[in-house]
Amino acid sequence: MNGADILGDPTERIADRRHTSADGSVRGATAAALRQAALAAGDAAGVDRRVTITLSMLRGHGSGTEARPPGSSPFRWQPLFVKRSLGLAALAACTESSYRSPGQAVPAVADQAVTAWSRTGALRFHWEPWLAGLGPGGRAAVLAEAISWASALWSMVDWPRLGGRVTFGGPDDRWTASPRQAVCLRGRVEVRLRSSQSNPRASRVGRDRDDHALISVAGGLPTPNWEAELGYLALVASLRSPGAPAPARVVGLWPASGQCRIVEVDGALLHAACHLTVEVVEAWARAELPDRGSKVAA
Amino acid sequence: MADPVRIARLMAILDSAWTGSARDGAPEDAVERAGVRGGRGSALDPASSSPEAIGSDRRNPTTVRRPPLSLTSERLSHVLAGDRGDSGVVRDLHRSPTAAGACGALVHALFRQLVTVGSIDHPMDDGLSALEVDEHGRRLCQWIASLPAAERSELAAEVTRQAHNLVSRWPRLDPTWLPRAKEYLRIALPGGAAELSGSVDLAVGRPGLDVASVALVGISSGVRHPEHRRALHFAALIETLRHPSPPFAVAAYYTRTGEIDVDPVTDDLLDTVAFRVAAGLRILLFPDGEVGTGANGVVPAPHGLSRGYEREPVDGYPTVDAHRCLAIRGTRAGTHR
Repeated sequence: MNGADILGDPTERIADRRHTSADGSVRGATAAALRQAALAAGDAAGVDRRVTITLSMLRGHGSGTEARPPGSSPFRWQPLFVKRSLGLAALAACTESSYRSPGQAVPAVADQAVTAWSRTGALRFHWEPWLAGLGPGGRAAVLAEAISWASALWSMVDWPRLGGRVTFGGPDDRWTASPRQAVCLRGRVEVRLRSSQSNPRASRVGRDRDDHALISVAGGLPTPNWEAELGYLALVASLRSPGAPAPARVVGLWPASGQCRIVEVDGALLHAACHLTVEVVEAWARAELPDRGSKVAA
Repeated sequence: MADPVRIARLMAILDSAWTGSARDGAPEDAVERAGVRGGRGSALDPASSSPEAIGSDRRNPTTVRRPPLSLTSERLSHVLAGDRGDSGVVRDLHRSPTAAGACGALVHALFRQLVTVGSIDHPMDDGLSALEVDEHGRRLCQWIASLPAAERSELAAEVTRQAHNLVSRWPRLDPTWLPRAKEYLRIALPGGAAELSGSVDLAVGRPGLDVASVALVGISSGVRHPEHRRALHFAALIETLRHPSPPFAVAAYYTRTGEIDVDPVTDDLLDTVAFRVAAGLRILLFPDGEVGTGANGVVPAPHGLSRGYEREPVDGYPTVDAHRCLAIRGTRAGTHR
């Protein structure tokens, strides 16, 4: 499927779907399976070992290029780490104000962020001091990366048509899988969409305002596990807010390959995502703790 | 226009890497033989896709994946020149820096700066500042700093000269054309056995439209070389396969002289690249020559393989004003707002 296929409204079918994904038993079962894996990993790891599972780790799983958990190497700012937050803020600015393209919005948003930080000392993005300290060439390199990233996303979806139902960025979903907090699941999505349609069925249970879809953006190509990986984002969102409906759909965009994939969230998808997450947790325990990993496998 | 027949035709040519069917015939014959979805047993045949390669059930994740064959333009040229190309990536990573390479990296950074912010005030300082923001660039900066003063001064003079050329000749692009300084392109061939990947220094125009709206630009700080255009033609093929429409043109811009070579992207050009790719894939996929190899395991050039490159002199292309070229074409690269 090419990117142009998403020019329709990604949430248009939400109103027609049944809320199977919100079924408590599905959540309960997945949560139990994850807790069991986390407990086993935690037992093997000991009290001091913790891991945050991310979508990147799921994408690398089984490919021979396993992504390392966040925090496993010293952090140093680089354009790669800035492009997402700056690009998303620029896209929000494009939809909310008069900027006509990310090429106009990115430099303006970056300047505003640095100015605000200089004036108040408050960090919105955390890269403000680093960007402020760069020379013109370094600053341009950062802006160029963000513009390219945001332009690719900008051209894949007709964002202005979606109007105020779009939220770019926002806090990550997090769910801790065991009382000992050895394993934390983190779900990071680039965009959240609320449905514009009233759902009579959902309205009866007061859920019409909660229907939403998630959009995830990744580099390269979809992996063979792309459905379960997108389902992971719905899984974490669902576990984090057990009283609310799970997301209705998850959309994956891979701008470099022009790919757009969409999954409807249901029990089978959440189970598949849970299965993949458990595999990653077990792989982490085996890799980090080779001497104790057999306990996890057992 | 978005053209399913074009995609089917290109896929059929690429599919000939597996079937050999396009080797002796015209692309139209290949399409007919392979069918729109690909012939039985081909890479395009869904039934023949390996479970190891694509996962037997996407909702039941597999844990073992066979890495796909990855083909870049550089590797393709190595392969077609008789080098298997397996060591190409390793060779690049361990290549020692050179003054020409450093000049190229600095000029690329300055080109990106010019496209992004519209000005270059202190070429050498700005270029080094741009390289400093990532690990690879920092290593190059250290190497430049270690050069004897005379060599460093010579490098700075050349970078400054080329930067002035850029500023005086390169047009300011309207932001609504969505200029993307450095764009990565990647596509998996159906079946998952092979991938094509590349990058361009600049892409302008909105992709995803039904009309050709994108132009791809590669820059070079050195002398004109056929490989520059081959890389852009390769990128044009990927762009065609990843979006509904092909780019309308690719352009190689030489910052040393200000010359620009513009190639309109035609079906003929795309067929030629697809044949080259199929030939390269065949060599890599069937090193022992199971599929249609000639003497010494070398696959004969398919029909039309060298077309378009025969007339390629190293020098002698007319110089085209970049602004005029992009401005004329840019009217088609309109915004969607």
